[in-house]
Amino acid sequence: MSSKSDKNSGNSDKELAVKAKSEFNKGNYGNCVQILEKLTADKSCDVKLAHNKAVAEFYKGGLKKTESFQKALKAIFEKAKLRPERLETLEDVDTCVLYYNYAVILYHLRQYRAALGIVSKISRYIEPLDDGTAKKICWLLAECCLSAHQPAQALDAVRFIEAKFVTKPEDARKKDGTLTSLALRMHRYRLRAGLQLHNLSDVASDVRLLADTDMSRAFIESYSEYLSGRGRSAVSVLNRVAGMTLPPYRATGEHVATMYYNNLACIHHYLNKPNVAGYYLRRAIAENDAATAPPAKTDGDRYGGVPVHAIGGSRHYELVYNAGIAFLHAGRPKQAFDCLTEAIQVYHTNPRLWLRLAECCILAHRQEKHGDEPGTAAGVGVKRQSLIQGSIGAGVHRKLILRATPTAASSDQISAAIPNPTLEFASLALRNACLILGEDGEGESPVTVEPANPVTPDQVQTLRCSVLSASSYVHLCLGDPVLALEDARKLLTQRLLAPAQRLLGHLYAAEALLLLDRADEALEHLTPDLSADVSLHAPDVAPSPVEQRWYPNSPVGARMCLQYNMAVVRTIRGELELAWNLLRTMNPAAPEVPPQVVQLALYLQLKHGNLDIVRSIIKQHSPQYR
Amino acid sequence: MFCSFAVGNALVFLILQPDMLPHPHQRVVATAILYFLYKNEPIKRNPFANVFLHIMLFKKPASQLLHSELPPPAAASETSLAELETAVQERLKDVPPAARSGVSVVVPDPDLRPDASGAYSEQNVTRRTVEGVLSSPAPYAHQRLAPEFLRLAPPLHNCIDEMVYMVPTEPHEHQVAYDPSLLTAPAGVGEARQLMALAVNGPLTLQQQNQLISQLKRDLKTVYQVGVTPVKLPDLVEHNPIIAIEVLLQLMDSPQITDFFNVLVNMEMSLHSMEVVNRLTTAVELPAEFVHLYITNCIATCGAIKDRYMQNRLVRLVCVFLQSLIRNKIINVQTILIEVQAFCIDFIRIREAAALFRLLKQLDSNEHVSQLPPGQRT
Repeated sequence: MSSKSDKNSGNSDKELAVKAKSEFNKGNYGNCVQILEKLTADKSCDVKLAHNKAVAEFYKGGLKKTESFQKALKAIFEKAKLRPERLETLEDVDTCVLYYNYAVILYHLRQYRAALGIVSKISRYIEPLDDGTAKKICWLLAECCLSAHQPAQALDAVRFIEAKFVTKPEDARKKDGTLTSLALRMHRYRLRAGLQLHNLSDVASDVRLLADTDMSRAFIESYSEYLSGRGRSAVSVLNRVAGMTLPPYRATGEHVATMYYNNLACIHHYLNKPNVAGYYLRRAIAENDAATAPPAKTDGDRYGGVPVHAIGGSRHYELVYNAGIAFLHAGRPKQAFDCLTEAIQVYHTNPRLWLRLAECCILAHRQEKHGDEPGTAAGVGVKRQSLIQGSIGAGVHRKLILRATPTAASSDQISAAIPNPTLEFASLALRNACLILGEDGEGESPVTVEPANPVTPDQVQTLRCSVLSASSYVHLCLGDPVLALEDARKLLTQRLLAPAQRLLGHLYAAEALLLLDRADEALEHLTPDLSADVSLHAPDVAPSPVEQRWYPNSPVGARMCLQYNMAVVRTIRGELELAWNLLRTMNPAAPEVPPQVVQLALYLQLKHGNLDIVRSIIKQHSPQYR
Repeated sequence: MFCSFAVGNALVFLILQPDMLPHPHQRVVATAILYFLYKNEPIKRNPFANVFLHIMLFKKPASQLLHSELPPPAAASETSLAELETAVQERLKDVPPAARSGVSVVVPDPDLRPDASGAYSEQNVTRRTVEGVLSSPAPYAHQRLAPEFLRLAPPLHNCIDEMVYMVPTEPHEHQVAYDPSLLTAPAGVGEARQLMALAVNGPLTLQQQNQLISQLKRDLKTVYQVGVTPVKLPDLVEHNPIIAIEVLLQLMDSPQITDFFNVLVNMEMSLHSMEVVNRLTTAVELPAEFVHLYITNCIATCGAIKDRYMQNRLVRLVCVFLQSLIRNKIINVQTILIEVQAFCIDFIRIREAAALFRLLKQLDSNEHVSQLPPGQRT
């Protein structure tokens, strides 16, 4: 080595570089670092040398000293007068690997969009790079597209890989007919993109290309079954995982048991067993916390001294998000609220999540005030509460105390912005959702529902309808009929409106108008033909497999609601006879008839002063006060 | 103030329940107290004015008694009764019907069995009943039964695929990479890189040019490794147009070429830049809008030059350039016809412009002729 150095130092440097590369590829990172230190590079490859030294050091440390590697990269960028966050500074193909490594770290830190920006730009410069580096860049591109929920771009990336690296048939298929690892990996990305796009028929046919023993095939296939609505089949496919040997968490950066339990929870949620789903999610969270617990020695690394691919391995927030949804559907709004407020800290641009928070508040309010039984959805427990609060006095002076009408919810002194499942918080949450959603057809920036799969514009529209109806309801409860009327009117003009929501829109508008002393207009909203259809989803929209019990669930029930409310409007307008005529045809014992009918009957008789009839009604419905 | 109102409310309640105040004089006293609670204000501002109205209008004996109790100025005559009535109606109008529709929740239910009162004396029972009804915190006397609108809660939002289903993503497959190109570029590339750096700053010697071009042609990856960026293109075009041509030709298939075109179109027009574009047009098929934009730029630049000599030179060059484009059918004459004709007319004094104009006219008339039916062609 040294004999050649006085003649031609350029050559020996080159030999050293080759040797360093081979030591690195053999895994002898210490040797590699030593050789690189001997190199006296000139200015033109200063950057590359420093870069390779940093990489070799990082590997020498077992991929655990991520923070020092990041610092080293930053120093290199500064020396080269480049700025990784300003993509226009990437001009020279020489710096591609430097930017790639920066993107890899971002990916492992779960900053998918930033990583995607960098790696998309790099992928335009890959012609001169060697195959190994080019492939790495392309795989990272595909992965970042999927993690950032941009499946169409991921498919483009896969096509690009196919065009560039599968030029001969033996690139795709080995001599024995099985697919090469390149082809298999491409298929896996293609399948994952297909799942995000809901192209279920493509997924079902392509998934057979993967081996039966492949763990990711079990996950992908069960996902496909789950999305197709075949829950039982999904469970049995997923259970194939139980028989396989699972790689340890630190080796791959993902914990299979966590994913397994989480997926079982999703399936059971779709099978209408939200309590079972909640149970599995608790298991999943426990597994996740145990696996991702930081090790005792962190060696001063701010990421915990774990291998770089395990830094972002905790799925805590996604699990907590799922748990919130499961608990909400199980009728446990307070638990759901706690989970979802944790999730919203990370996913605060998800309007659907804000809506779910508001729904938790609404359900909690109904359970508290109206005594809806826990375990049932709001609205079903139009509970038959007793007519009488009690009786006072005895003998001639005995008085019966009827149950009073509740007044509008009073706001507590606690600030509404502190997360509590109150209607005031619901109002804020719904306003956030409205702001993020914007108007129909404005579609400038697409709406994301992270961490879930992307939504189509139609799904965004149905979300708008739900937000408006919840908002109108909350405003009515908080005693604000002006805003309630505005929201109800807006709701009635929306596209893709479910029949049940049309009914609600008219009811809320009628109540708001009544409170604003415009009873004539209120009557216009209470037409009987609204009760013809009470389905919860619009005609062209796929219904959720998750069933809900909602009242009214039949056209008869809807007609009874409308008739009762018409009687209320007539009463307030002073047309007591008309009101009484409407009430007479409604039998309070029938399940579709709202129990408030009896209260209104009592009221009408009290107005007329017919105390005998009042007493007889009371005795009929509360026999203990005979 | 609040206390008076509470007391007044309690009294009104008692007045309305005949069994609570069985003796008529008790009711008169109660009514009087209601009056005296607010005696400092005019009677129509008394919150309980409608009680007085009710009594005056419907209960004559009590009103006679009242007349004797009250001092003369406050005595109600027929006219001021009507006044009071209108004042009260006015006040009620401000309250929406929905808010004033409540009735008391206390319903008399006399138990007429003997011994119903049990061991308590009559007075005791009355007092306990009154206390039970009027005591705080939420006195029954203040509670109201009103028509209650049935407010249905909205159903939970209906959507599919809301939960996160997890699929393995193999994060460990994406690892930091060693750069294998350290000092491993072929020797030629290093020199080519140096030469390119020189070429951007000034003209190369013939020998240097040949060396660079042969390296570019020998190893097709060289063009990507010599550090030529769109920003450096104008300088390269000015100093070494031949090299610029070679570089652009080699970059034709790469996605970076659009950036280079953008720079080429927008750079200052010159002999060299036209030469480059001309060569490009003859070698490959350029995007039509690029060529069009370039021509427009050229024409604009010609018009903007102040120096007469330079202007003439440039105009001549542009005309020759356009003629070549037209004769080689690289552009569709029709798309630029009007612009170019205007340009020619502006510079009709220059020979080449006139020639170009004639060429255009000839082509135009040929077009028209070919569109006429055969019999009419001259």
